[in-house]
Amino acid sequence: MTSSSGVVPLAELRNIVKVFPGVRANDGVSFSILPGEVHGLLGENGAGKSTLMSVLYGLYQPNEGEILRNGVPIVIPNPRAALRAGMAIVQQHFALVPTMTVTENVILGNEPSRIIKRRVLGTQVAELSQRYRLDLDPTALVSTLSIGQRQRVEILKCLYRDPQVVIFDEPSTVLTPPEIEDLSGIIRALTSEGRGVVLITHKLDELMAVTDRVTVLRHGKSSGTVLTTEVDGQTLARMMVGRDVKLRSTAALVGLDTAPTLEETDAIQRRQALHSTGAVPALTLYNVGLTADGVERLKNLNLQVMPGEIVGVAGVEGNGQRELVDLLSGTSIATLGQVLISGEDFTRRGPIAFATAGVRVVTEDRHTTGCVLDMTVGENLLLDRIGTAPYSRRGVISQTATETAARKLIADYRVKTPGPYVQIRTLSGGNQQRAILARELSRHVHLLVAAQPTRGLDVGAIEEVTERVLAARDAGAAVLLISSDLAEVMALSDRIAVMYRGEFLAVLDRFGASTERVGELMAGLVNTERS
Amino acid sequence: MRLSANAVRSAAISLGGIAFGFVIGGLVVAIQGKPVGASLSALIEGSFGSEFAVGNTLTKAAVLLLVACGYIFATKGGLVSIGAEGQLHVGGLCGAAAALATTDLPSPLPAIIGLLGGFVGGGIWGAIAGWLRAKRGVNVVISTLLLNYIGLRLVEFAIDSKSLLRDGDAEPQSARIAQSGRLWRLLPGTTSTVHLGVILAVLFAVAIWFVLNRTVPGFRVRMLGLNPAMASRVGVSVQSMSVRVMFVSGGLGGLAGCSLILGEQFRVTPGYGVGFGFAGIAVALIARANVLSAIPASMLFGAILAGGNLLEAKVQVSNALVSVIQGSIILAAAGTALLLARTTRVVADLEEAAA
Amino acid sequence: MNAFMIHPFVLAAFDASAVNLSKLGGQALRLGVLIAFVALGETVSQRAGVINIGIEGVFLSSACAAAVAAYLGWGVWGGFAAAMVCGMAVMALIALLVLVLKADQIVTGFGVNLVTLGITTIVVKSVPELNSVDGLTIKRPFGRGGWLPDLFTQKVSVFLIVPVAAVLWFVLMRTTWGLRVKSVGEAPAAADAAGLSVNRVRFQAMLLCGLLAGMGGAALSLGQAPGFTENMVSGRGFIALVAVIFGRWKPVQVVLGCLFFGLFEALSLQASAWGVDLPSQLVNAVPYVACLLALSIFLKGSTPPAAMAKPFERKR
Repeated sequence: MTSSSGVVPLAELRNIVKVFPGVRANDGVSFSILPGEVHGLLGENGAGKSTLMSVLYGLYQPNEGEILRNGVPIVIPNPRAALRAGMAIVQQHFALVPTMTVTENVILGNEPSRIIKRRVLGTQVAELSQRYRLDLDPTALVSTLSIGQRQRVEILKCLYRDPQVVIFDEPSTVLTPPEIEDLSGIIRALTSEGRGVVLITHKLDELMAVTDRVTVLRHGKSSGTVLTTEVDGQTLARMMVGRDVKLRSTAALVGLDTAPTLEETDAIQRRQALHSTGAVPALTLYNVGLTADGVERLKNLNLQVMPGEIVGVAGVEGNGQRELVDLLSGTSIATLGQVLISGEDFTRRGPIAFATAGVRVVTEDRHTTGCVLDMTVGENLLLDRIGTAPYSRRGVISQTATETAARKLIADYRVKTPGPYVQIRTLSGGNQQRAILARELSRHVHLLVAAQPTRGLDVGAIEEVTERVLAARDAGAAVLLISSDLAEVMALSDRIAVMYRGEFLAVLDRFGASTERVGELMAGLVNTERS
Repeated sequence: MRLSANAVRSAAISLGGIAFGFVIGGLVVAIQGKPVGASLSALIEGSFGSEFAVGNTLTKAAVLLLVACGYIFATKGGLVSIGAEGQLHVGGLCGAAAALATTDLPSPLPAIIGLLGGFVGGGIWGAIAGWLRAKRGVNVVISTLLLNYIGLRLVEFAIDSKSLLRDGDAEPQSARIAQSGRLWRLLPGTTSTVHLGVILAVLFAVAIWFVLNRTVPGFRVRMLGLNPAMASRVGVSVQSMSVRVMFVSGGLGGLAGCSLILGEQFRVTPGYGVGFGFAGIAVALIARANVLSAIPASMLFGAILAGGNLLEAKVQVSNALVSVIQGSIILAAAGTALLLARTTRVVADLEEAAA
Repeated sequence: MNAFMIHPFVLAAFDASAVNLSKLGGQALRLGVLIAFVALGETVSQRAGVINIGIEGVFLSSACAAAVAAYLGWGVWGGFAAAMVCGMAVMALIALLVLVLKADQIVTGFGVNLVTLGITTIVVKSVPELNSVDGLTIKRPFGRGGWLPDLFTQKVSVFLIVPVAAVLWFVLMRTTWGLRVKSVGEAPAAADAAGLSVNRVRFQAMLLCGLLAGMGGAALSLGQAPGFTENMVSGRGFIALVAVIFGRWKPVQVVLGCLFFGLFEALSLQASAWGVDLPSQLVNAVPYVACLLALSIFLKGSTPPAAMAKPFERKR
């Protein structure tokens, strides 16, 4: 499986099989990294990309297959061994210690001496940071850094060990478009020094831009390795999904360029015209601000969402989206301004009032604010209504009523589960999300707040979730779609608000918003004179 | 069928842990050069050998069970409260005070008022920790620990102070609780001291199970314990719920104190129930936070406690052996938790694969 | 002299002339330092992400081990060594349970406390001579009641806390090992990805915890008291736990927290000598009430190590 050029790969995986209970996460996958190349690893969520790289990085032991380093078979029992063998990974979920400084994080596990010489190390780290133009202050605490900066700390941590192979696991998901460009520059600098880079992604456009070769995984199997110059996006998408993608929005999500059709343009214009009808907006934010622990998290938010339209909130994670969702769930209270639901002041109301008014919230972190992992699927489906008839009477829960209701929701929303009595923890991410949507959408929906509703799902689940959101809109619900995925926002929204550091930098008409413009705004660039 | 196989396996692991505790106990006895067999039979004789012994086992088990229920209730609400020792003593004190104050009322009333007083007293002692957690962010483990010491001193103070509960000049102790304030003997005319507290404890265990698993408030408590962020999203006030959970938890500890005072000892003496609080928590721990499993677990620990009395008398083995055995059982329970979790997790995985 | 610390009207019979601040300070120091060794040990353990409720049992068993060693004629420092070895051995057992078998840390601590209480009680009952191994206990370096004020006529074990705390501060804040300990307590997944063995670092931290708690045990049975008595620790290990939180997981502050508790304990012990006319039981409760108040006033905003009490397991 080595490349035809005859160069010995820096690292090679041969016929890797990795089995988890019930899943063959990798099923005979081969993969090689040549010196000086960027090798893309493409696949949907759950296709086995991360598993494969975890095998290379010693986080998992393969059930079958072998790993070669410079042509020599090796065993990698743990990450330490991988690092010693000259392989490093920039993880999607940053592996940083937030309470430590940049320098401390960079040297952790690879400290040059028993006693820490702060000044010497600081200088070293600063030099390394300059060489790759990472622009980091070695003495800054990681907890004070932005997401993009944290990723650069991860990169610095890798480079400090001078690895021959660098793996980037979905690096762009947390970055603004300009930051993604900077990242491409860093990757090129690495390969120019003869290092090999693996880029794990599910985005075609990025892949086309920086890689030399691409290996596509589907359901744990390799659907082939191709030279980037010899394929187009459509082909790769088919290799990845195994069929043509159904929805325009999902096509956009995987990075295929799509433009709205004429009918869609008409529909969008019709929905935008809702504002001039004088109808009462489902949601009005009026000069909303939020200050918590002395930090201004939200400021001066103004927005109206009409019944029957989707307003997208684009922005890189951590720019106030979470706080906005909390406000609209009633779990926190704006310190300034007003939140109106159907014209009524809800600023100081609690979660029950919001729920009663038909505000349904799908939060971005389904494990901490979307469901209770250690409760059963049935309990999770009825969390919000358990105290009402027929689910309970005089405080006593009716076993039959809850079971009937749960089974119906499971069937209606196609939640794949052995039954209502298993813990929701044991379901896949897609099925957990289906259960959450079942709960939130099965009651009257006046306003749907959906934060990152498709994150981490496979294409089938993405299409289903998207269809549910569109169906809610068509049924007359106002939708606030919060997403850090620019493509998703562009594909689904009638209007787009761009969030940056707790503010809406702009609220744009769908037709007045180009991907480039929104991307720049996401990075906080209000003036477009950027070189 | 799968479920029952699972149940058999967890039962086997639990029994193995208990056996481990006795093996360690036996080793300790053997190292001292004392007879292992005779010690074991003394232990059994002291716990089940006579009417009196069985009664002793049951009444001790009742106290432990009430404490365990309180601990488990708090745990389900996400609060690790190790304050049973203090709640038990303060609760028993309040129960005695209430029963003594109403001693002239017709017969069951003083006992009922005593129980209520004990529940409220212990409940307040628990709620203090809940309040400190809700309002000041003080870790419950730490605050309940400190409240244990303060509670014990409070009891000593109350029975040493003439303006409060002290009776006479001889020993610092309260007055004796009259018949009207006592929990009924279930087998009057026999040597068995088994009293109403035993039945109450089982009833409370079943009631707590029902509340937790079949009612809306119980559902909310569990939600609070498993995911407070989600709980607050559906309208559960994390702060006030924490205080309420701690009140109930402490109240059950207080009832345990009442069971001791109104059922067996009939007067408050310094440190009258020292050790029961921690032993009750131990019961909850080996019952793996399941109130129904706590019923047999409390019987086991009650029997070990009751039997411990005969160890010293019969075979000159210190009844400190009781803590060695109890502690070893707890360690075995802790050490096999992973084994148990693995069993259930594999089953869940298989289910999903089959779906 | 002055009664500025206590509100005057409580003290009808308060005798200001009986107040000896040097004596008070000396006692506060003795009582506080005793806990401080143990609290420093617990600090290391918690910094590594292991909350060790079993510290009470470690403290108790090492106090017993020190007395046994002294009784066997190993001398004072032999007793110290025995206590440290015993502390490490018990911690190794706890580590086996919580690191390898992923046992719940609080449950494990409970079990260890019960077992050690039982075993030490049996030991002291079979060898009553342990109650008084006098003459083998630690000497005062500056003589008895010499020219130094009471505050400074302390045993060596009390002064030992200064170098121990200083070294521990340096180790935690300035060395590679300290960095690793903190990383496994804050973000074990990050430490793992950086190539560290989380459990190995935690194990080392727990052993150091046992060593320090062992010093505390020896200081108790050979320094403070002339020998070992049944359950002589009686909750001081738990107080050490409180001190760690009170000191926000920082070695120097933790020692100060212990001294704070020692001061209140000394106050409650000396109150009657000063003619303070309060019921003794309430006075005895003062140190605990002070702790609780101090925690609820000063605690807000401090955060424990993020991975505390969570066993580390790689995601599957």
